[in-house]
Amino acid sequence: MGYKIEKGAAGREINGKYYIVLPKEMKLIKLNNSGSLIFDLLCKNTKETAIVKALSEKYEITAKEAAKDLAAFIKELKKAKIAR
Amino acid sequence: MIEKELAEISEENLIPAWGMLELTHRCNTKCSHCYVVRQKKTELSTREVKDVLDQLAEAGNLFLAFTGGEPFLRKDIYEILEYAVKKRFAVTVLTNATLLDTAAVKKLKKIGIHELSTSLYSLKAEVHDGVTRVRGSFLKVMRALKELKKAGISVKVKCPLLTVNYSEKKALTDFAKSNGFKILFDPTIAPKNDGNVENTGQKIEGEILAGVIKQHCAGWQYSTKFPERNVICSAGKNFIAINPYGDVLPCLQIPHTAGNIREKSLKEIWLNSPMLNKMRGMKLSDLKECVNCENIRYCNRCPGLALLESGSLYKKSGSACEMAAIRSGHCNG
Repeated sequence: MGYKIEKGAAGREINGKYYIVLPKEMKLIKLNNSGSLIFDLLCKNTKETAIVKALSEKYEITAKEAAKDLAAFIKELKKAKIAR
Repeated sequence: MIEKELAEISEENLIPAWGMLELTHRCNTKCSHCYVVRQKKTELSTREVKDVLDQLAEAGNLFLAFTGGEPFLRKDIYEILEYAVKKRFAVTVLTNATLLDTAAVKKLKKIGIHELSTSLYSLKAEVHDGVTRVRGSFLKVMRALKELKKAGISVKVKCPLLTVNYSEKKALTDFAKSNGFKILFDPTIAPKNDGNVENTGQKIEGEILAGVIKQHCAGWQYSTKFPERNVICSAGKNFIAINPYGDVLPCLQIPHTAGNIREKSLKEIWLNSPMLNKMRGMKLSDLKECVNCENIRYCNRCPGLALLESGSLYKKSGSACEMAAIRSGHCNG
């Protein structure tokens, strides 16, 4: 299954962190380090398995833990209408 | 809170997180207070604008406002906006809204801009049209606002307070609230970008200005931690402006070009321009006429306005002095 960042979600990596502006409004949020990594990969249309691998390698966690973290983060992004 | 953090981080690291891009100086209204001075130069082409957007994204620009003139006079406006949204800018368009019919609003909705900002000078057609000096402009703005509301596009109504409309402030606020629009009033009328003051004839002053400022005492904030931030803005630090001819400016109100993107890369101009570096080095102690002023804690001096009013970025701004004096008398409790 693939996830996509919504077209109208604005975002920029500034000083190592991603700042996101929610679609259709001017609300600004900041992502933490792992969130920034996931957002960056999602923007590049990276597949879920590759994101899990990247998380697992960067944070030295198991693939199962990485998949769980990714799912939780995606749920938040969907709630904020940033991802679909 | 996050906006403040981003403002500080971007300022410290010279990242132009906020920016304005003038797409054209052409306009189909003739607003009495307009500051734009049209130049006899060639506007950036579609390809050049897209290249600027690529470079702005690379530089870290996030909040980008497209303005003019009237941006919807450009035939490629939708192509430009679509490209900007794809590049993940938070896109605002500043427009007089007269060209926004049902089809145009549908396109904007599909593109997914973040906010549309439009001028509305009055709820009376004769007053609005009197300011724009174009008969029928009021009806077109109202038509556009209705369509924008229906489409669910976020709208900010901008209203400069003039001698002809200051009494409508409450009515305009109520109108905006009842339609779910944001509204912003501003009593500051900047001279034209060449310093000509012929456009400031409807500026409110004296008792009328005092009445307006008194209503906003509660929102007045003075930074004691960074006192210079009150009188020296972020232009050229985390804010960038580009005019329709590719000139990079610290702000649209500071018509001193730092370089032209047709000649150098944005990065090279932004990081190495002597003019921008001079702006960045401006300190409170450089403002000889202001540093010991008793009203400085009530002042929100704009360097651009000071330049246009006095001819120098470092001199006092008469408008800011007048407002600071009013705040000092009414907002100190």
